[in-house]
Amino acid sequence: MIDLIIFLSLVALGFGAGTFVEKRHYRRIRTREAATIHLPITTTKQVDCLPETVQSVELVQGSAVISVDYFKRLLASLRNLFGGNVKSYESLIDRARREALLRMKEKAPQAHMIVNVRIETATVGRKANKKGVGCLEALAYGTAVTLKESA
Amino acid sequence: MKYTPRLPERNDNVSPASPIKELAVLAGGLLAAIVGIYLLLGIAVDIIVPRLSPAVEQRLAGPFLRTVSHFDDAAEGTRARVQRLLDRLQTDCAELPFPLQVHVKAGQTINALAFPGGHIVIFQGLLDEVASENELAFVLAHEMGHYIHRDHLRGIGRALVFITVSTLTLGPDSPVANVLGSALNLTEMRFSRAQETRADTFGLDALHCLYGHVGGSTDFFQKIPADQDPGRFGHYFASHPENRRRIDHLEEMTRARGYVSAPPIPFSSSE
Amino acid sequence: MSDRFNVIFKGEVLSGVDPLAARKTVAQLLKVDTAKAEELFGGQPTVLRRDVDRTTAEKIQRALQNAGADCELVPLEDGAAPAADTPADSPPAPPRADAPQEAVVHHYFETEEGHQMIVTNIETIPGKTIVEHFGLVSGSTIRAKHIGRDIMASLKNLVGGELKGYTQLMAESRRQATERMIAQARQIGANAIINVRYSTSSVAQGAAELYAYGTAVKFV
Repeated sequence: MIDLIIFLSLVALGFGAGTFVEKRHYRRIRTREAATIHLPITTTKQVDCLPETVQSVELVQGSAVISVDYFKRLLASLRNLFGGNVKSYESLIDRARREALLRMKEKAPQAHMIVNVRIETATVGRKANKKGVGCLEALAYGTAVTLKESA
Repeated sequence: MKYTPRLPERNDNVSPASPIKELAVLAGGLLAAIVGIYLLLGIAVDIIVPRLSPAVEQRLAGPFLRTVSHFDDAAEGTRARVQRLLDRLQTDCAELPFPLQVHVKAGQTINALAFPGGHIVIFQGLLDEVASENELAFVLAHEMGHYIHRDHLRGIGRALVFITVSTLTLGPDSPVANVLGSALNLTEMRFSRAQETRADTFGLDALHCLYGHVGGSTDFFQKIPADQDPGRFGHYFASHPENRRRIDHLEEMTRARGYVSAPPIPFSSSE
Repeated sequence: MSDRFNVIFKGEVLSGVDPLAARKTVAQLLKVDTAKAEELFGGQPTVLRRDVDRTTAEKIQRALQNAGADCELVPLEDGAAPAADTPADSPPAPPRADAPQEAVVHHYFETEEGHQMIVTNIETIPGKTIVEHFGLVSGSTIRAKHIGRDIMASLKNLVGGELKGYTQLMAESRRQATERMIAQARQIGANAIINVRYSTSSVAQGAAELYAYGTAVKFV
C-alpha cells in the first residue's frame, strides 16, 4: 500500500513538474529561435558567396542534455510492452535538439551563416543492466562563416 | 540562393495527443492483457490437468510439500496408524495411479490436504477431533476421491501452470519452482461444490466397501453446527459452508444405495 | 543552307550576370560537375549538341540564356565536317533535344497524406535551380516494438540472421521521420529538401529513435 502511494505521488510529481519544466523550456526555445532566425543554417557544404568575401570560418558546436521525468518513463515502459510510437520521448528529443542548435547559433553571433551542420544524439547516464534512460544528449556542430564587412 | 528566415508554426516532431489519455489507454490495455492472461491460465489448467501423467505429477510434489515444511512432523506412531488405515482403503476399495502417502503435521488447524504426487497432509488438530476410525476413514476416502477426479490439481489453480512448466523445463529443484512453491498458500486451496459432492460420493462408497456399513460418515460434519462460521476449521470445511447440504446428500445416498449404518470403531489420536 | 545545327558553347556569359552564378546554373542544367563546368567556361568552344533541327537548337539556346549564358548555333554545311575541331571530351550527358529542364526525371517522396517533395542527399537538385533556402528542417520518431517481438528477437539472437520485425520497425520509423521533416518543410514554404542526413540512436531499451534532417529549399 505504501509502495503504491509512493509510486502514485512520484507519477503525479513527474507529470506536474515535468509539464511545467517542458512548457517553460519550449517558451524559452521559441523566443530564442525567433531572436536567432536571421542566421541561416544549412546542411549543405556550399558556401553561397565568392571566396574572396569570406573573412573567417570556425567550427561551432552546441549541446544539451535533457532528463526524462518519472511520468514519461512510466509511459515509455508501458509503450514498450505494446509497441508503437513512444510519444512521451518525442518532446524530450525535440527539446534537446533545438536547444543544441540554439546554443550552436549563439556561439557564433557574428557569423553570416553556419554551413554543413550535423546533429548527433547520445544517451548518457544509463547504468549498465538497467532499463530506461537517464537522459539524452544532443550535439549540433557546423562551420560558422563570417564575411568581410564590405561584403 | 537567398535566405528566407521562417519558422514552422506547428511542431511536427511532437505528437499532439495528450499524455494523460495515452496513460489511460496504455494502463487500460495492460489491465485487459492481465485479465486475458488470467482467463487463459484458467483454461490452461483445465487443459493440463487431464493430460498430466502420474509420473509427471509425482515430480511436481517437491515444490508443494515445501509449503508445509514449516510445520513439525507429528509422532511417527500416529502417522503409521493413519497410513495403515489408508493402505487398507487403497488395496481394497480404490484404484489409484500411485500409492498414497500420509504426512501428519503438528499444526492445530482441523485440516486435510491432497497434494500432487499422492501426498495427503493431515494436521494433528483434525486427528484430535476424530472420535472413530470410520470417521477418519471417511475423511481419507474423501481426499482419495479428490485424487481420483484430479481435483487436487485443479484446486491449486493457475499456479499449477507455472509450476508444471518450470518443473518440466528446469527440473523439480530449480530455484524458480521453489519461489513459485513458496508463494502458494495451499491451506487455502478451494474446491467447487460439485467437486466436493463427487469426493463425498466416492468417500461413502469406499467406507461401505471397507466396513460393510457407512456408520460415522456424517459424524465429522455434525461437529460444527450448521450456522457456525467454520473459523478455525481449515480447508476440509472452509470451502463447504453448506455442511447441512452435504449431510443431507450423504444421508440421501445412503438410503438410495441401501447402505446400512452400524456403530463405528473408536479411534483416539493418542495411543 | 541546311536547317541542321550544331550547338556550340564558348563560355560566354550574358552581360550583367554574375559569372559564378551562371557557371553554377549551367552546370546544373547540363548535369556536369564543377570541374567540367569550369572547363566549359574556359573559353574553348565545345559542341553541346550535334546535328539537331532548328527548333531544338533554339530551345537549348533559350535555356542557356535563361541560365545567364549564351551559345552559338552553327548551321551544318553539306559535306562539312564540323566535328573535326570538336574536343573529344564533350559533355558526357548533354541535355536531351527537347527542353533540358525536363531532362532529369525527378522522383518525388510521397507522404501518406499525398504530399510530394523532392528529397535528396546531395547538395543540389540536378536539372533544377535552387533559388531560396529556409534553413534546417528535421523530423524524428521513437518507436518501440511490442514485447512479443522483443522476445522473438532475443531468441533470434541465439542463431543469428535477419530480425525481420526490427528491419520493418526501423524502416517504418524512418519513413515517418522523413514525413515529419517534409511536413515541417511544407509549413515554411519549401518544395524540396536537400542534403538530407539520417541518424539513429537508441533512447530507451527496445525502442529506436530515428532522425532525419536537411536543408529546406525552393527550386524553380
